[in-house]
Amino acid sequence: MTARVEIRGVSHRFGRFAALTDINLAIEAGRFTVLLGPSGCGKTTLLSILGGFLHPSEGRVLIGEQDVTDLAPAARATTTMFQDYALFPHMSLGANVAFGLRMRGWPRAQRESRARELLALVSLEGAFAKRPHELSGGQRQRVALARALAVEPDVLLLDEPLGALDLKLRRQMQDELKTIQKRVGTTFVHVTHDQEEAMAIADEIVVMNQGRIEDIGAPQRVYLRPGSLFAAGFMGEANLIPGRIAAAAAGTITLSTAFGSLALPTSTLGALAPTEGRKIKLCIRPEHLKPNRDNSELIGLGPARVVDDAFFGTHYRCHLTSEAQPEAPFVAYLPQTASLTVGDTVALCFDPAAAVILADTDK
Amino acid sequence: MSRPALSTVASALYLAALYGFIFLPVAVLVLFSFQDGRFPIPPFEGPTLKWYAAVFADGKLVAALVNSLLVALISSAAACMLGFTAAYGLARHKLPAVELQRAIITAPLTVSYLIIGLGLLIAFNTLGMPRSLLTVGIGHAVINTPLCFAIIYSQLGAHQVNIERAARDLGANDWQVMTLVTAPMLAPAVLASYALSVTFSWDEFIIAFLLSRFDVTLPVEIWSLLRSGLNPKTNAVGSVVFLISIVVVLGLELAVFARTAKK
Repeated sequence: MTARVEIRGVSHRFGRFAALTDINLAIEAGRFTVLLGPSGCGKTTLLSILGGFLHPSEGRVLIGEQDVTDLAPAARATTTMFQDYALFPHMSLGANVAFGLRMRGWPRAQRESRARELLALVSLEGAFAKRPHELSGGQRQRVALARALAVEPDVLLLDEPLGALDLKLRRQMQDELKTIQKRVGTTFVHVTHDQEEAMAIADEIVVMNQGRIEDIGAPQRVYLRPGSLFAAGFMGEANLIPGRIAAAAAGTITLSTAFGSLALPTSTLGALAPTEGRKIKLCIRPEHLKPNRDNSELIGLGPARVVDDAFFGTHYRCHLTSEAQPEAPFVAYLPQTASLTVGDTVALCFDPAAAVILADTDK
Repeated sequence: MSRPALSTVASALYLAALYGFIFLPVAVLVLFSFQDGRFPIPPFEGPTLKWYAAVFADGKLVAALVNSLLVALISSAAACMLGFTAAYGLARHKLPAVELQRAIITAPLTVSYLIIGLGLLIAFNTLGMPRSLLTVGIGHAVINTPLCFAIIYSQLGAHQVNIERAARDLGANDWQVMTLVTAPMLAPAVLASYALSVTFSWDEFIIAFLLSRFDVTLPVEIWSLLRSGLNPKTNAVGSVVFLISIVVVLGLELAVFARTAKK
């Protein structure tokens, strides 16, 4: 069971606080969509509106072809998995999973056999008669998933389901969630503030900030070619070089920055209009900075001094102070083989194909 | 090393004095219920069970004991129901002036039983309701509802809100949420308030005295027994009252403790 979800012009206010402003979003059936953003960005409010726990101040919500804006949670083809799992503490796991079917009037034998199937789906075959307090956090989370899937919802809403788990278990549960989602085919809408989690599980990431959508797209696209300054910063570390568009010619765009004028391919512009004189920020991910120009495709940023380096296992994370712009140190991820020491001066370069020009929306 | 020893001895003495102060009167009462003589005063002679035999041979005392049990069990059930529904309503629904309503429900806890009893007496007179075990039961429900409300309300926290939401999301209606989810989750608090309410009603005197007429509860019967002077029979019936209170409290401890220990 699966369905498409459409949010049309949804706004929501709590008193005078605008939690959501004119949200428009279409989620295709059977996709794993992640709403990503910092606390207070409105992602949980949006999920509550999808689940029917909040009625939006404006706008409509459609599931399948049906307008569900005015329907109660139980009348919608959605179920919600809550952050604290919200299992019924006085019932066995079997009774927990079968609860929704019991409310739908299934006879005992049928709903119990269905509950056993679902417990098997989440690898808890033998735990039918156990109580929630006998389980670990990760197991409770699986029971909550089984309970929510038992009623065969078209759309499963997950409110930071992994937030209470430790890191290792969280990574493991991410994989399981993704596998189960592919198996059942239900549309999953998942809320998190963890961008690594979002990239690990999402077919599509919706980056939200201050009640608005900043960017929507596949994880690779949102990380490598973010649609806004906020999305760039939230998806991972980014070096931002302020500047202006000096000239736009066929195939090439020239920026004037503290590092002199930089000529970049127009593909770095994305959706931005190449208006001359426009204030921009050039966004370069730390892994796209190189310590020396070993190939002519790279663009130089002048000499920079290594201020510190920390070994992260897969890479060194270094801070470098450039001569042209010493007030804003660069962050670079350099390979394990980089033999640099603090105090070294390198010729810092970047790969223009991997850089992105973003509108400067900072005040 | 003598200083800690001294303080330990002092603490032990203090503890003994404290327990003595609380339990000595009860111990004396129970001891002299076994007195083999006419008066419950030292020296102790005995032991004998003849005063207990006298209590259970006394038709009026046994009838009063049964009345007391009925009033306690039924009025406490009513108080629990009222307390639970009031707590659920105030905790889960948006109502005007919640704090004021809560204060009004719990206010009777601070009013003396004498005042409540007089007020009820006047009210029943005005309504033309004759004094009976029913009016005593209503009186006890009045004094115990605030208690049940306060205990249950204190346990209705935000952590159950999502559990109730989940039940609703899975298709439960309001009645099913309350009976299948909220009430079972609150069972320890409900049981505790019920047992406390039973013990309060069981040995309550003033309201029972003011609101009863022909059928009376045990404390009222004991009071009329005391008017003809002290004898070991009053000690025996007092011991029975004490024993039943202890049984209720122990039963509660076991029931609630067993539940919480499992979690």
